[in-house]
Amino acid sequence: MKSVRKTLLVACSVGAIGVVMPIALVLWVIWQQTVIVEEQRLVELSQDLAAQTEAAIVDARSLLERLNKQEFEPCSQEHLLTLQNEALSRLHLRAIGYWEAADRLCGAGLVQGQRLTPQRASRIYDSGVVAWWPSPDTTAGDVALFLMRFGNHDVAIDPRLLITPGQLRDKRVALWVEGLKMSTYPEGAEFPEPASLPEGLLVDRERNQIISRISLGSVFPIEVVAIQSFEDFWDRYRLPLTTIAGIGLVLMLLWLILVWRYLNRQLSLEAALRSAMESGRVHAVFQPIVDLRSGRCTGAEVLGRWTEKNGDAISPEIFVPLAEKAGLGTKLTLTILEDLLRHLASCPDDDQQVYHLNLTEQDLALPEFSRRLRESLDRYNIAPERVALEITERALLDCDRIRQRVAELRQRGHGIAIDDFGTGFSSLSYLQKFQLDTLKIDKTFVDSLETESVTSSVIRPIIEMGLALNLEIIAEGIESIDQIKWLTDHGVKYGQGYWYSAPLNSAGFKAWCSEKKP
Amino acid sequence: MAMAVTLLAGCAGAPPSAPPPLEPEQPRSDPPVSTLTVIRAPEDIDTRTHALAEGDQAIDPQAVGYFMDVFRARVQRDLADTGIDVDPGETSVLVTFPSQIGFEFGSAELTAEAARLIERLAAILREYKATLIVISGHTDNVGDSNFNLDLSEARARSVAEYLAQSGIAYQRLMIKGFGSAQPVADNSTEAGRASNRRVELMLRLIVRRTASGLAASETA
Repeated sequence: MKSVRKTLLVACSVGAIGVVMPIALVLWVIWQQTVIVEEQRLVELSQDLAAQTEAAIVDARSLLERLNKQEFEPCSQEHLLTLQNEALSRLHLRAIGYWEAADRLCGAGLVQGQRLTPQRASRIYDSGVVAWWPSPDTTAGDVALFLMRFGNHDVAIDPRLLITPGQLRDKRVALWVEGLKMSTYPEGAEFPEPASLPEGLLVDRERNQIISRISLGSVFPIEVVAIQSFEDFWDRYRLPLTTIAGIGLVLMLLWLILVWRYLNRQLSLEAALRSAMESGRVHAVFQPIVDLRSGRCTGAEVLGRWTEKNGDAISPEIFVPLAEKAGLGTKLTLTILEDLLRHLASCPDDDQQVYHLNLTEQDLALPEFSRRLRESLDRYNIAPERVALEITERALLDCDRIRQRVAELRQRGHGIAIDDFGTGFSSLSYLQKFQLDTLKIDKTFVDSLETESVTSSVIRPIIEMGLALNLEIIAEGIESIDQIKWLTDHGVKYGQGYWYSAPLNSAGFKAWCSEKKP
Repeated sequence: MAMAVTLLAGCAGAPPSAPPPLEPEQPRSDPPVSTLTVIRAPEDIDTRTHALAEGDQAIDPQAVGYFMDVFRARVQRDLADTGIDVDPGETSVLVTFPSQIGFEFGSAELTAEAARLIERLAAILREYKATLIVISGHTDNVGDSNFNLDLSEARARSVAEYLAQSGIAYQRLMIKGFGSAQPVADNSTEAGRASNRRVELMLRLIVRRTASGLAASETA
């Protein structure tokens, strides 16, 4: 019983792994996908910001160039209107000024007279563009501005507006232009220097975040560092992931229950059969074989019967295939044989009845079986002629070794009968090739005698063939007097079936036979 | 860079060439300077600087950095790729004209090309008024040193007069001829001699004297 438990446990574990693995795989794939999607978003966002910044700066520069080329009277009404319009048409532009040397003569945005003249330019380009990155020196109204001057004009860009918070959701972003920090969101947040990060994506497991660094260098170097923490997007994807995990778990439990129940049934039945055979609860019963004309009992087909302690009988249709599948076929045959021999030993010596024992394919395949059969017969001192062996057609097919074994058994004196003839791969050739004694016509053919169905036309040639080969013919499953009549009319000598008797136990069979003796 | 112009005391005194009677366009400061000033002693520059620092063209001390940045950017932009060398310092910009693009051999006459370039420089200086322009002429060591001295001063004068004609006040202009006394390269090679034949314009920032009294412009 312990080994059964162990087998069950192993089987269930295998089943569980079989279910858990695909679910885990699905979850993993989904998680990977969400990470990829989020990473792509982060990269796209960074790229957008970089492009946006580059566009803003390029635009500012070309605006300055345009303003320098226009030939206004400096600080005329027309000039000031142009500056104002240009400033108002750009979201991120806070001011445009007209300068001569270090004097801001007029402009839009800043109060007249106010000017931002930071001590040191961040960049002076050969083109003549001078730029001041946001710093306390460029602060007006608490906003550190990005200043760019070219010729006589300058613009003041609000770097906060280069990053549009709407795009960001739960991400943090910092913007560098020319290696100098331009803007961050949220304002004042700490960021690692771009130079300390690899280009592209970095998964920072220590802090549970993804960092993307995008560099844009088409006009001038722009770096965007965007950071998203895992927690944020775990929050977003928790529901679908847990739902899938839950469904998976339920499916797995159902599967486990199914596997458990099936295996439990199979294994317990097998174990029960084994113990039934060992404790003698599987025994032989005898269905009489009768001379159809005289009604005399000529022998019996020996069948297995499994009776549980509580009296429940288990059908051979269940336990015979089970025994064969579990490799217990030969054990079953030998168990029944033992019972048969005990029965034979208790019969009077002058008895001439022949008992038909069913062999399984396994019996014939096992060289040992033939030896054990002989040993058993010897032990009880029973002549082999008393025990005929019933073999299915299938067992005889195409296997010389088995044919040889069958021939040996026949040599020893056993009668050889072909069981369920007509249901298998009936072929004339093997009937000739083998030395057989008896043909048993399957119950289905006998049944069909009354229904006139297609199969009924088959029985006639079978009988004729058997007679031609000089074989003894036994009809199985006789259930009516009409069948007996037809069979005897067509030369069939022997039969068995419920018309005569159901399978009987040893004593029952003896009684039945003595009653039938004339 | 400013040193190049200031430390020159020991030079042979050249006879002052007569300033051409050009009409000064608009004298601004209290002591009106209506002719071109030739530097006789290093202190002359300081004196003039101090005088200008009190004028209304001087730059506020807090805007010095800004002024220099945009000034430098402007000079670099407008004089790039002209053969003129621009060397920006903290409070000054040194602009060097090689003689081969400015003058015929042995002559103080400006070429048409030089006139065009100096006009360009004048446009900048008209906007960036808070500057003193110290112009110094230099030659190689070939030939008579007195001739060289005269030639160098004449060339400096040509440049200065052209600037004056272009609207730069005499007050902002000072000249000096050095002859071959201040070579910047080895006179034994032709390339070195070519480098030494030059006119330098030291554009010096003029910072307004504040109440605290000191001009912040001079580098020690």
